[in-house]
Amino acid sequence: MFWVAGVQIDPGDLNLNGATTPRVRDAPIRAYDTWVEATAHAANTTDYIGNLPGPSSTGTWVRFHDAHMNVLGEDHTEVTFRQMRTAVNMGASFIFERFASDVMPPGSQLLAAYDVENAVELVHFGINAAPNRHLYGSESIYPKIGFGLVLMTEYLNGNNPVAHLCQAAGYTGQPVQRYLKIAWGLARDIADQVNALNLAGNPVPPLEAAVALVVANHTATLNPYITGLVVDAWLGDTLTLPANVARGPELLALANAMIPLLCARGLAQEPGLAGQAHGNFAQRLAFFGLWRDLNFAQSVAAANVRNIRYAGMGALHLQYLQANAGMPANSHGYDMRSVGAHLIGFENATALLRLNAH
Amino acid sequence: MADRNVRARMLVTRNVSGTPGPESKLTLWWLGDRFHVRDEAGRAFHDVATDVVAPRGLGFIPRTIEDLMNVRLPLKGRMDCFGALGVAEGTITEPWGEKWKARTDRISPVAGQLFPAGLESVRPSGHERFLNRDCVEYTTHREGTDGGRQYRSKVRLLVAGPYVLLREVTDEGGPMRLRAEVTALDEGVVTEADVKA
Repeated sequence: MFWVAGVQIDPGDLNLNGATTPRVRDAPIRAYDTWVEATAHAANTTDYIGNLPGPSSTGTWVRFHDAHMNVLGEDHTEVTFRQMRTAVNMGASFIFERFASDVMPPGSQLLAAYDVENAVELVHFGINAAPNRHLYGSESIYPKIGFGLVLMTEYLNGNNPVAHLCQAAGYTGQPVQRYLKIAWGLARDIADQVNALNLAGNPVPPLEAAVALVVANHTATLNPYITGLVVDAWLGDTLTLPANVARGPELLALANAMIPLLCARGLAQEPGLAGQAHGNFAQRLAFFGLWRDLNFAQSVAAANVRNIRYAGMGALHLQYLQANAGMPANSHGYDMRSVGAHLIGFENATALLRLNAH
Repeated sequence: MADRNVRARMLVTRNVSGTPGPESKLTLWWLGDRFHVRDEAGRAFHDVATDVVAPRGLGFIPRTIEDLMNVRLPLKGRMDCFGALGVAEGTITEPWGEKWKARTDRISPVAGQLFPAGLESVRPSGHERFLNRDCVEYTTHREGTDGGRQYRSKVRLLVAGPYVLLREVTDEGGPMRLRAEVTALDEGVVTEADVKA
Protein backbone atom coordinates (compact mmCIF):
# COMPACT_ATOMS: atom_id res chain seq x y z
CA MET A 1 0.00 0.00 0.00
CA PHE A 2 1.17 3.53 -0.48
CA TRP A 3 0.51 7.16 0.23
CA VAL A 4 1.18 10.21 -1.89
CA ALA A 5 1.48 13.53 -0.10
CA GLY A 6 -0.11 11.97 2.97
CA VAL A 7 -3.14 10.46 1.22
CA GLN A 8 -3.53 6.70 0.99
CA ILE A 9 -4.10 5.66 -2.61
CA ASP A 10 -7.16 3.60 -3.42
CA PRO A 11 -7.62 1.20 -6.37
CA GLY A 12 -9.63 3.65 -8.41
CA ASP A 13 -7.13 6.48 -8.36
CA LEU A 14 -6.70 7.92 -11.85
CA ASN A 15 -2.95 8.42 -11.35
CA LEU A 16 -2.26 4.72 -11.04
CA ASN A 17 -0.31 3.02 -13.77
CA GLY A 18 1.00 -0.43 -14.54
CA ALA A 19 3.89 -0.09 -12.13
CA THR A 20 2.06 1.45 -9.20
CA THR A 21 -1.29 -0.41 -9.36
CA PRO A 22 0.04 -3.65 -7.77
CA ARG A 23 1.21 -1.62 -4.79
CA VAL A 24 -2.22 -0.36 -3.78
CA ARG A 25 -3.12 -3.44 -1.78
CA ASP A 26 0.18 -5.13 -1.00
CA ALA A 27 1.69 -5.20 2.48
CA PRO A 28 4.68 -2.82 2.52
CA ILE A 29 4.11 0.72 3.72
CA ARG A 30 5.38 3.39 1.33
CA ALA A 31 5.03 7.14 1.69
CA TYR A 32 5.80 9.26 -1.35
CA ASP A 33 5.94 13.00 -1.67
CA THR A 34 4.68 13.02 -5.26
CA TRP A 35 3.30 10.75 -7.96
CA VAL A 36 6.51 11.23 -9.89
CA GLU A 37 8.40 9.79 -6.96
CA ALA A 38 5.94 6.92 -6.58
CA THR A 39 6.29 5.99 -10.22
CA ALA A 40 10.07 6.29 -10.14
CA HIS A 41 10.30 4.07 -7.06
CA ALA A 42 8.06 1.47 -8.64
CA ALA A 43 10.36 1.56 -11.67
CA ASN A 44 13.37 1.04 -9.39
CA THR A 45 15.03 4.27 -10.44
CA THR A 46 15.27 5.97 -7.03
CA ASP A 47 18.17 5.63 -4.60
CA TYR A 48 16.94 7.32 -1.42
CA ILE A 49 13.66 5.67 -0.34
CA GLY A 50 12.57 2.14 0.42
CA ASN A 51 11.61 -0.49 2.98
CA LEU A 52 14.22 -2.02 5.26
CA PRO A 53 14.57 -5.70 4.40
CA GLY A 54 15.14 -6.91 7.98
CA PRO A 55 15.83 -8.81 10.06
CA SER A 56 16.00 -5.62 12.12
CA SER A 57 13.16 -3.12 11.76
CA THR A 58 11.70 -5.12 8.90
CA GLY A 59 9.48 -3.13 6.56
CA THR A 60 10.28 0.30 8.00
CA TRP A 61 9.98 2.97 5.32
CA VAL A 62 13.14 5.06 5.17
CA ARG A 63 13.82 8.26 3.36
CA PHE A 64 17.25 9.78 2.93
CA HIS A 65 18.23 12.92 1.07
CA ASP A 66 17.52 12.63 -2.63
CA ALA A 67 20.53 14.56 -3.91
CA HIS A 68 23.25 15.14 -1.30
CA MET A 69 25.57 12.72 0.43
CA ASN A 70 23.88 10.68 3.14
CA VAL A 71 26.09 9.59 6.03
CA LEU A 72 24.50 6.55 7.63
CA GLY A 73 25.41 5.45 11.14
CA GLU A 74 24.84 1.78 11.84
CA ASP A 75 25.06 -0.72 14.63
CA HIS A 76 26.43 -3.94 13.17
CA THR A 77 23.95 -5.98 15.19
CA GLU A 78 20.86 -3.99 14.24
CA VAL A 79 20.01 -2.21 10.99
CA THR A 80 23.21 -2.52 9.00
CA PHE A 81 24.61 -0.51 6.12
CA ARG A 82 24.11 -3.65 4.02
CA GLN A 83 20.40 -3.60 4.78
CA MET A 84 20.09 0.12 4.14
CA ARG A 85 21.87 -0.33 0.83
CA THR A 86 19.36 -2.96 -0.18
CA ALA A 87 16.42 -0.86 1.02
CA VAL A 88 17.15 2.21 -1.07
CA ASN A 89 18.87 0.64 -4.06
CA MET A 90 22.00 2.72 -3.62
CA GLY A 91 23.93 0.65 -6.15
CA ALA A 92 27.64 1.42 -6.34
CA SER A 93 27.46 5.00 -5.14
CA PHE A 94 28.85 4.45 -1.65
CA ILE A 95 31.89 4.29 0.56
CA PHE A 96 31.99 2.03 3.57
CA GLU A 97 34.26 1.96 6.60
CA ARG A 98 34.80 -1.77 6.31
CA PHE A 99 36.64 -1.28 3.01
CA ALA A 100 40.13 0.11 2.67
CA SER A 101 40.74 3.40 0.94
CA ASP A 102 44.35 2.48 0.16
CA VAL A 103 45.68 1.34 -3.18
CA MET A 104 47.32 -1.91 -2.09
CA PRO A 105 50.09 -3.14 -4.37
CA PRO A 106 48.84 -5.70 -6.89
CA GLY A 107 50.29 -9.11 -6.15
CA SER A 108 51.18 -8.15 -2.59
CA GLN A 109 50.56 -10.48 0.30
CA LEU A 110 48.85 -7.60 2.06
CA LEU A 111 46.26 -7.43 -0.69
CA ALA A 112 45.87 -11.21 -0.73
CA ALA A 113 45.22 -11.30 3.02
CA TYR A 114 42.81 -8.37 2.79
CA ASP A 115 40.87 -10.11 0.04
CA VAL A 116 40.59 -13.33 2.03
CA GLU A 117 39.36 -11.55 5.14
CA ASN A 118 36.84 -9.39 3.27
CA ALA A 119 35.75 -11.80 0.56
CA VAL A 120 32.15 -12.14 1.70
CA GLU A 121 31.59 -8.41 2.10
CA LEU A 122 33.32 -7.54 -1.17
CA VAL A 123 31.10 -9.97 -3.05
CA HIS A 124 27.97 -8.83 -1.25
CA PHE A 125 28.63 -5.22 -2.19
CA GLY A 126 29.47 -6.27 -5.74
CA ILE A 127 32.94 -4.78 -5.76
CA ASN A 128 35.16 -7.85 -5.50
CA ALA A 129 36.30 -7.40 -9.10
CA ALA A 130 35.72 -3.68 -9.40
CA PRO A 131 38.51 -1.49 -10.76
CA ASN A 132 39.67 1.26 -8.41
CA ARG A 133 38.24 -0.68 -5.53
CA HIS A 134 39.82 1.69 -3.03
CA LEU A 135 37.24 4.29 -4.06
CA TYR A 136 34.64 2.29 -2.12
CA GLY A 137 36.72 2.49 1.04
CA SER A 138 36.53 5.23 3.62
CA GLU A 139 39.43 4.36 5.88
CA SER A 140 43.07 3.43 5.53
CA ILE A 141 43.87 -0.12 6.50
CA TYR A 142 47.23 0.76 8.07
CA PRO A 143 45.97 2.42 11.28
CA LYS A 144 43.56 -0.48 11.70
CA ILE A 145 46.44 -2.93 11.45
CA GLY A 146 48.36 -0.93 14.00
CA PHE A 147 45.39 -0.67 16.34
CA GLY A 148 44.75 -4.41 16.15
CA LEU A 149 48.40 -5.21 16.88
CA VAL A 150 48.47 -2.83 19.84
CA LEU A 151 45.37 -4.46 21.28
CA MET A 152 46.90 -7.90 20.75
CA THR A 153 50.04 -7.03 22.69
CA GLU A 154 48.01 -6.53 25.85
CA TYR A 155 47.10 -10.21 25.75
CA LEU A 156 50.52 -11.48 24.74
CA ASN A 157 52.53 -9.53 27.30
CA GLY A 158 50.53 -10.85 30.21
CA ASN A 159 48.42 -7.78 31.01
CA ASN A 160 45.29 -9.66 29.95
CA PRO A 161 44.76 -13.42 29.73
CA VAL A 162 45.03 -14.82 26.21
CA ALA A 163 41.85 -16.73 27.01
CA HIS A 164 40.02 -13.42 26.80
CA LEU A 165 40.62 -13.52 23.06
CA CYS A 166 38.46 -16.65 22.83
CA GLN A 167 34.95 -16.53 21.46
CA ALA A 168 33.51 -17.51 24.80
CA ALA A 169 34.97 -14.35 26.36
CA GLY A 170 33.63 -11.75 23.95
CA TYR A 171 34.35 -10.31 20.54
CA THR A 172 37.80 -8.77 20.73
CA GLY A 173 39.57 -11.92 19.56
CA GLN A 174 37.77 -11.85 16.22
CA PRO A 175 38.89 -8.46 14.82
CA VAL A 176 42.30 -8.90 16.43
CA GLN A 177 42.74 -12.13 14.45
CA ARG A 178 41.47 -10.53 11.22
CA TYR A 179 44.00 -7.71 11.42
CA LEU A 180 46.81 -10.01 12.56
CA LYS A 181 46.34 -11.97 9.32
CA ILE A 182 46.45 -8.77 7.29
CA ALA A 183 49.46 -7.55 9.31
CA TRP A 184 51.29 -10.76 8.51
CA GLY A 185 50.74 -10.19 4.80
CA LEU A 186 52.18 -6.71 5.16
CA ALA A 187 55.12 -7.99 7.20
CA ARG A 188 55.99 -10.53 4.52
CA ASP A 189 55.83 -7.83 1.85
CA ILE A 190 58.23 -5.73 3.90
CA ALA A 191 60.56 -8.71 4.30
CA ASP A 192 60.54 -9.21 0.54
CA GLN A 193 61.38 -5.54 0.02
CA VAL A 194 64.22 -5.76 2.53
CA ASN A 195 65.59 -8.84 0.78
CA ALA A 196 65.51 -6.98 -2.53
CA LEU A 197 67.37 -4.04 -0.98
CA ASN A 198 69.98 -6.38 0.48
CA LEU A 199 70.46 -8.17 -2.83
CA ALA A 200 70.95 -4.86 -4.58
CA GLY A 201 73.41 -3.76 -1.94
CA ASN A 202 71.23 -0.85 -0.91
CA PRO A 203 70.84 0.38 2.65
CA VAL A 204 67.88 -0.97 4.61
CA PRO A 205 65.92 1.33 6.93
CA PRO A 206 66.18 0.01 10.50
CA LEU A 207 62.44 -0.30 11.20
CA GLU A 208 61.94 -2.34 8.04
CA ALA A 209 64.99 -4.43 8.91
CA ALA A 210 63.51 -5.22 12.32
CA VAL A 211 60.28 -6.49 10.74
CA ALA A 212 62.21 -8.52 8.19
CA LEU A 213 64.25 -10.10 10.97
CA VAL A 214 61.14 -11.25 12.82
CA VAL A 215 59.69 -12.65 9.61
CA ALA A 216 62.95 -14.48 8.86
CA ASN A 217 63.22 -15.87 12.35
CA HIS A 218 59.64 -17.09 12.64
CA THR A 219 58.24 -17.72 9.17
CA ALA A 220 58.54 -21.47 9.55
CA THR A 221 56.18 -21.47 12.51
CA LEU A 222 54.15 -18.26 12.14
CA ASN A 223 53.28 -18.58 8.48
CA PRO A 224 51.44 -21.91 8.71
CA TYR A 225 49.79 -20.79 11.94
CA ILE A 226 48.59 -17.38 10.76
CA THR A 227 47.60 -18.34 7.24
CA GLY A 228 45.75 -21.34 8.67
CA LEU A 229 43.54 -19.23 10.91
CA VAL A 230 39.94 -19.54 9.80
CA VAL A 231 38.27 -16.37 8.54
CA ASP A 232 36.08 -14.70 11.18
CA ALA A 233 37.30 -17.01 13.95
CA TRP A 234 38.73 -15.87 17.29
CA LEU A 235 42.49 -15.74 17.81
CA GLY A 236 42.28 -17.03 21.36
CA ASP A 237 40.53 -20.22 20.32
CA THR A 238 43.71 -21.45 18.60
CA LEU A 239 46.34 -19.55 20.55
CA THR A 240 45.31 -21.18 23.81
CA LEU A 241 45.77 -24.68 22.41
CA PRO A 242 48.88 -26.34 23.87
CA ALA A 243 50.33 -26.85 20.39
CA ASN A 244 50.27 -23.10 19.78
CA VAL A 245 51.50 -21.74 23.09
CA ALA A 246 54.92 -21.04 21.57
CA ARG A 247 53.30 -18.75 19.00
CA GLY A 248 52.51 -16.15 21.65
CA PRO A 249 56.08 -14.79 22.03
CA GLU A 250 56.55 -14.93 18.27
CA LEU A 251 53.42 -12.88 17.67
CA LEU A 252 54.52 -10.42 20.32
CA ALA A 253 57.87 -10.04 18.55
CA LEU A 254 56.01 -9.43 15.30
CA ALA A 255 53.78 -6.78 16.90
CA ASN A 256 56.72 -5.10 18.63
CA ALA A 257 58.49 -4.77 15.29
CA MET A 258 55.46 -3.74 13.26
CA ILE A 259 54.00 -1.10 15.60
CA PRO A 260 56.99 1.30 15.49
CA LEU A 261 57.16 0.88 11.73
CA LEU A 262 53.48 1.70 11.32
CA CYS A 263 53.81 4.70 13.64
CA ALA A 264 56.71 5.98 11.55
CA ARG A 265 54.74 5.53 8.35
CA GLY A 266 51.77 7.32 9.86
CA LEU A 267 53.94 10.26 10.84
CA ALA A 268 55.39 10.36 7.34
CA GLN A 269 51.99 10.25 5.64
CA GLU A 270 49.78 12.36 7.87
CA PRO A 271 51.00 15.81 8.90
CA GLY A 272 48.18 15.90 11.45
CA LEU A 273 49.95 13.22 13.47
CA ALA A 274 52.98 15.39 14.12
CA GLY A 275 53.71 15.55 17.82
CA GLN A 276 51.25 12.80 18.66
CA ALA A 277 52.78 10.61 21.37
CA HIS A 278 52.95 6.88 20.65
CA GLY A 279 55.14 5.44 23.35
CA ASN A 280 52.73 3.41 25.46
CA PHE A 281 49.59 1.34 25.03
CA ALA A 282 47.05 4.13 25.47
CA GLN A 283 49.05 6.57 23.38
CA ARG A 284 49.37 4.08 20.57
CA LEU A 285 45.64 3.38 20.53
CA ALA A 286 45.03 7.11 20.37
CA PHE A 287 47.69 7.55 17.69
CA PHE A 288 46.17 4.98 15.37
CA GLY A 289 42.70 6.28 16.13
CA LEU A 290 43.72 9.80 15.11
CA TRP A 291 45.44 8.53 11.97
CA ARG A 292 42.25 6.76 11.02
CA ASP A 293 40.17 9.88 11.57
CA LEU A 294 42.47 12.11 9.55
CA ASN A 295 42.43 9.68 6.66
CA PHE A 296 38.71 9.15 7.01
CA ALA A 297 37.98 12.87 6.74
CA GLN A 298 39.96 13.00 3.50
CA SER A 299 38.20 9.97 2.03
CA VAL A 300 34.72 11.26 2.84
CA ALA A 301 35.51 14.72 1.50
CA ALA A 302 36.89 13.20 -1.70
CA ALA A 303 33.80 11.01 -2.07
CA ASN A 304 31.61 14.05 -1.63
CA VAL A 305 33.46 15.78 -4.45
CA ARG A 306 32.81 12.70 -6.63
CA ASN A 307 29.09 13.06 -5.76
CA ILE A 308 29.02 9.73 -3.98
CA ARG A 309 25.58 9.34 -2.43
CA TYR A 310 26.27 7.28 0.68
CA ALA A 311 28.90 6.85 3.36
CA GLY A 312 28.37 3.98 5.80
CA MET A 313 30.00 3.83 9.20
CA GLY A 314 29.46 2.95 12.82
CA ALA A 315 27.04 5.36 14.42
CA LEU A 316 29.64 6.46 16.96
CA HIS A 317 31.83 7.60 14.11
CA LEU A 318 28.94 9.57 12.63
CA GLN A 319 28.35 11.11 16.03
CA TYR A 320 32.01 12.08 16.26
CA LEU A 321 31.83 13.79 12.88
CA GLN A 322 28.67 15.65 13.84
CA ALA A 323 30.12 16.85 17.12
CA ASN A 324 33.40 17.96 15.57
CA ALA A 325 32.23 19.79 12.46
CA GLY A 326 33.52 16.85 10.42
CA MET A 327 30.52 16.28 8.18
CA PRO A 328 31.11 16.93 4.48
CA ALA A 329 29.49 20.03 3.06
CA ASN A 330 25.79 19.52 2.28
CA SER A 331 25.81 16.01 3.71
CA HIS A 332 23.09 14.61 5.94
CA GLY A 333 23.66 12.33 8.90
CA TYR A 334 21.28 9.56 9.94
CA ASP A 335 21.58 7.72 13.25
CA MET A 336 20.09 4.36 12.31
CA ARG A 337 20.57 2.59 15.61
CA SER A 338 17.60 1.10 17.40
CA VAL A 339 17.46 4.01 19.83
CA GLY A 340 18.76 6.52 17.30
CA ALA A 341 16.79 9.58 16.34
CA HIS A 342 16.28 8.81 12.68
CA LEU A 343 15.45 5.13 12.82
CA ILE A 344 12.96 5.79 15.60
CA GLY A 345 11.44 8.53 13.47
CA PHE A 346 11.14 6.24 10.47
CA GLU A 347 9.68 3.47 12.61
CA ASN A 348 7.12 5.76 14.20
CA ALA A 349 6.05 7.20 10.86
CA THR A 350 5.70 3.73 9.36
CA ALA A 351 3.71 2.47 12.34
CA LEU A 352 1.39 5.47 12.19
CA LEU A 353 0.64 4.89 8.52
CA ARG A 354 -0.03 1.21 9.14
CA LEU A 355 -2.32 2.08 12.04
CA ASN A 356 -4.38 4.46 9.94
CA ALA A 357 -4.43 2.41 6.76
CA HIS A 358 -7.79 1.40 5.38
CA MET B 1 5.74 8.64 42.55
CA ALA B 2 4.12 11.98 43.14
CA ASP B 3 6.46 12.64 46.05
CA ARG B 4 9.65 11.85 44.19
CA ASN B 5 12.20 14.59 44.54
CA VAL B 6 15.70 13.31 44.06
CA ARG B 7 18.90 14.11 42.19
CA ALA B 8 21.41 11.34 41.59
CA ARG B 9 24.86 11.53 40.09
CA MET B 10 26.07 8.32 38.55
CA LEU B 11 29.34 6.97 37.25
CA VAL B 12 29.15 4.30 34.57
CA THR B 13 32.28 2.31 33.76
CA ARG B 14 32.60 -0.50 31.29
CA ASN B 15 35.07 -3.04 30.07
CA VAL B 16 33.75 -4.75 26.99
CA SER B 17 36.85 -5.07 24.85
CA GLY B 18 39.65 -6.19 27.10
CA THR B 19 40.56 -2.66 28.07
CA PRO B 20 38.61 -0.19 30.17
CA GLY B 21 36.18 1.84 28.14
CA PRO B 22 35.48 5.51 28.57
CA GLU B 23 33.71 6.57 31.75
CA SER B 24 30.33 8.21 31.67
CA LYS B 25 28.94 10.55 34.26
CA LEU B 26 25.20 10.99 34.45
CA THR B 27 22.94 13.24 36.46
CA LEU B 28 19.33 12.19 36.99
CA TRP B 29 16.62 14.48 38.30
CA TRP B 30 13.17 13.27 39.36
CA LEU B 31 10.36 15.56 40.44
CA GLY B 32 7.10 13.65 40.78
CA ASP B 33 6.50 11.95 37.45
CA ARG B 34 8.88 14.20 35.57
CA PHE B 35 12.51 13.41 34.92
CA HIS B 36 15.62 14.78 33.29
CA VAL B 37 18.83 12.90 32.48
CA ARG B 38 22.09 14.55 31.48
CA ASP B 39 25.28 12.96 30.20
CA GLU B 40 28.33 15.17 29.85
CA ALA B 41 30.70 12.62 28.34
CA GLY B 42 29.61 13.32 24.77
CA ARG B 43 27.55 10.16 24.52
CA ALA B 44 24.46 10.04 22.35
CA PHE B 45 21.12 9.10 23.85
CA HIS B 46 21.38 5.73 22.14
CA ASP B 47 24.55 4.85 24.04
CA VAL B 48 23.26 6.07 27.37
CA ALA B 49 20.07 4.07 26.83
CA THR B 50 21.92 1.00 25.62
CA ASP B 51 23.74 0.81 28.95
CA VAL B 52 20.35 0.18 30.50
CA VAL B 53 18.29 -1.69 27.92
CA ALA B 54 20.78 -3.90 26.03
CA PRO B 55 19.78 -7.53 26.52
CA ARG B 56 23.07 -8.63 28.02
CA GLY B 57 23.13 -5.66 30.37
CA LEU B 58 26.61 -4.69 29.23
CA GLY B 59 25.78 -1.72 27.02
CA PHE B 60 27.24 -1.47 23.55
CA ILE B 61 29.61 -4.34 22.81
CA PRO B 62 32.22 -3.60 20.11
CA ARG B 63 32.47 -6.40 17.59
CA THR B 64 34.68 -5.06 14.81
CA ILE B 65 37.95 -3.17 14.64
CA GLU B 66 35.93 -0.11 13.68
CA ASP B 67 33.76 -0.52 16.77
CA LEU B 68 36.82 -0.93 18.94
CA MET B 69 38.27 2.27 17.52
CA ASN B 70 34.96 4.12 17.64
CA VAL B 71 34.44 3.55 21.37
CA ARG B 72 37.70 5.40 21.96
CA LEU B 73 36.81 8.43 19.88
CA PRO B 74 37.17 11.58 21.95
CA LEU B 75 33.53 12.59 22.10
CA LYS B 76 32.33 15.89 23.49
CA GLY B 77 29.11 17.69 24.18
CA ARG B 78 26.14 17.16 26.44
CA MET B 79 23.06 15.00 26.05
CA ASP B 80 19.85 15.95 27.84
CA CYS B 81 16.61 14.04 27.81
CA PHE B 82 13.37 15.11 29.47
CA GLY B 83 10.13 13.26 29.95
CA ALA B 84 7.21 12.55 32.22
CA LEU B 85 5.50 9.27 33.03
CA GLY B 86 2.03 9.25 31.56
CA VAL B 87 2.96 11.67 28.79
CA ALA B 88 3.38 10.19 25.34
CA GLU B 89 6.63 11.80 24.25
CA GLY B 90 9.77 13.23 25.71
CA THR B 91 12.54 15.39 24.31
CA ILE B 92 16.15 14.52 23.60
CA THR B 93 18.97 16.92 22.75
CA GLU B 94 22.01 15.12 21.40
CA PRO B 95 25.60 16.23 22.12
CA TRP B 96 25.89 17.70 18.62
CA GLY B 97 22.79 19.85 19.15
CA GLU B 98 20.14 17.82 17.34
CA LYS B 99 16.83 17.88 19.18
CA TRP B 100 14.21 15.18 18.70
CA LYS B 101 11.21 13.58 20.33
CA ALA B 102 10.80 9.95 21.35
CA ARG B 103 8.12 7.90 23.02
CA THR B 104 8.41 8.12 26.78
CA ASP B 105 8.77 4.37 27.07
CA ARG B 106 12.01 4.67 25.09
CA ILE B 107 13.38 7.34 27.40
CA SER B 108 12.06 6.46 30.82
CA PRO B 109 14.28 3.38 31.38
CA VAL B 110 17.32 5.66 31.43
CA ALA B 111 15.88 7.75 34.24
CA GLY B 112 14.21 4.74 35.81
CA GLN B 113 17.48 2.91 36.37
CA LEU B 114 17.59 4.67 39.71
CA PHE B 115 14.66 2.61 40.97
CA PRO B 116 14.37 -1.15 41.43
CA ALA B 117 11.99 -3.08 39.21
CA GLY B 118 11.04 -6.72 39.06
CA LEU B 119 12.63 -7.64 42.37
CA GLU B 120 9.40 -8.56 44.15
CA SER B 121 10.06 -12.29 43.89
CA VAL B 122 13.84 -12.11 44.21
CA ARG B 123 15.34 -13.08 47.55
CA PRO B 124 18.11 -10.82 48.87
CA SER B 125 21.57 -12.28 48.49
CA GLY B 126 23.30 -10.13 51.08
CA HIS B 127 23.67 -6.79 52.80
CA GLU B 128 26.28 -4.11 52.31
CA ARG B 129 27.03 -0.49 53.13
CA PHE B 130 27.28 1.69 50.06
CA LEU B 131 27.23 5.46 49.78
CA ASN B 132 26.88 5.55 53.57
CA ARG B 133 23.58 3.69 53.36
CA ASP B 134 22.52 0.21 54.36
CA CYS B 135 21.81 -1.70 51.18
CA VAL B 136 20.17 -4.97 50.33
CA GLU B 137 21.99 -6.97 47.69
CA TYR B 138 20.07 -8.77 44.97
CA THR B 139 21.67 -11.09 42.44
CA THR B 140 19.88 -12.07 39.25
CA HIS B 141 20.91 -13.40 35.86
CA ARG B 142 20.17 -12.59 32.25
CA GLU B 143 20.46 -15.41 29.76
CA GLY B 144 20.06 -15.59 26.03
CA THR B 145 21.82 -15.99 22.73
CA ASP B 146 24.16 -13.47 21.15
CA GLY B 147 25.97 -14.11 17.90
CA GLY B 148 24.88 -17.73 18.00
CA ARG B 149 26.29 -18.37 21.45
CA GLN B 150 24.62 -18.64 24.81
CA TYR B 151 25.43 -15.92 27.29
CA ARG B 152 24.76 -15.51 30.98
CA SER B 153 25.17 -12.15 32.67
CA LYS B 154 25.21 -11.83 36.42
CA VAL B 155 23.43 -8.74 37.66
CA ARG B 156 24.22 -7.53 41.16
CA LEU B 157 22.14 -4.72 42.61
CA LEU B 158 22.58 -2.81 45.83
CA VAL B 159 19.27 -1.29 46.85
CA ALA B 160 18.83 1.27 49.61
CA GLY B 161 15.18 2.09 50.25
CA PRO B 162 13.62 3.10 46.93
CA TYR B 163 16.96 3.53 45.16
CA VAL B 164 19.33 1.29 43.23
CA LEU B 165 22.74 2.57 44.25
CA LEU B 166 24.80 0.02 42.31
CA ARG B 167 24.15 -2.09 39.23
CA GLU B 168 27.04 -4.34 38.39
CA VAL B 169 26.72 -6.62 35.39
CA THR B 170 29.35 -9.27 34.73
CA ASP B 171 29.57 -11.63 31.80
CA GLU B 172 30.06 -15.09 33.29
CA GLY B 173 31.90 -16.26 30.16
CA GLY B 174 34.58 -13.60 30.08
CA PRO B 175 35.87 -10.25 31.26
CA MET B 176 33.08 -7.99 30.01
CA ARG B 177 31.39 -5.97 32.68
CA LEU B 178 29.42 -2.78 33.28
CA ARG B 179 29.21 -0.95 36.58
CA ALA B 180 26.70 1.84 37.17
CA GLU B 181 27.02 3.38 40.60
CA VAL B 182 25.38 6.30 42.27
CA THR B 183 28.09 8.65 43.54
CA ALA B 184 25.82 11.24 45.11
CA LEU B 185 22.17 11.17 46.07
CA ASP B 186 20.34 14.28 47.18
CA GLU B 187 16.68 14.27 48.11
CA GLY B 188 14.43 17.31 48.17
CA VAL B 189 16.71 19.51 46.06
CA VAL B 190 15.05 19.23 42.64
CA THR B 191 13.16 22.26 41.36
CA GLU B 192 10.82 22.84 38.43
CA ALA B 193 13.69 24.27 36.44
CA ASP B 194 15.64 21.01 36.69
CA VAL B 195 12.99 18.98 34.90
CA LYS B 196 11.75 21.55 32.44
CA ALA B 197 12.79 20.89 28.83
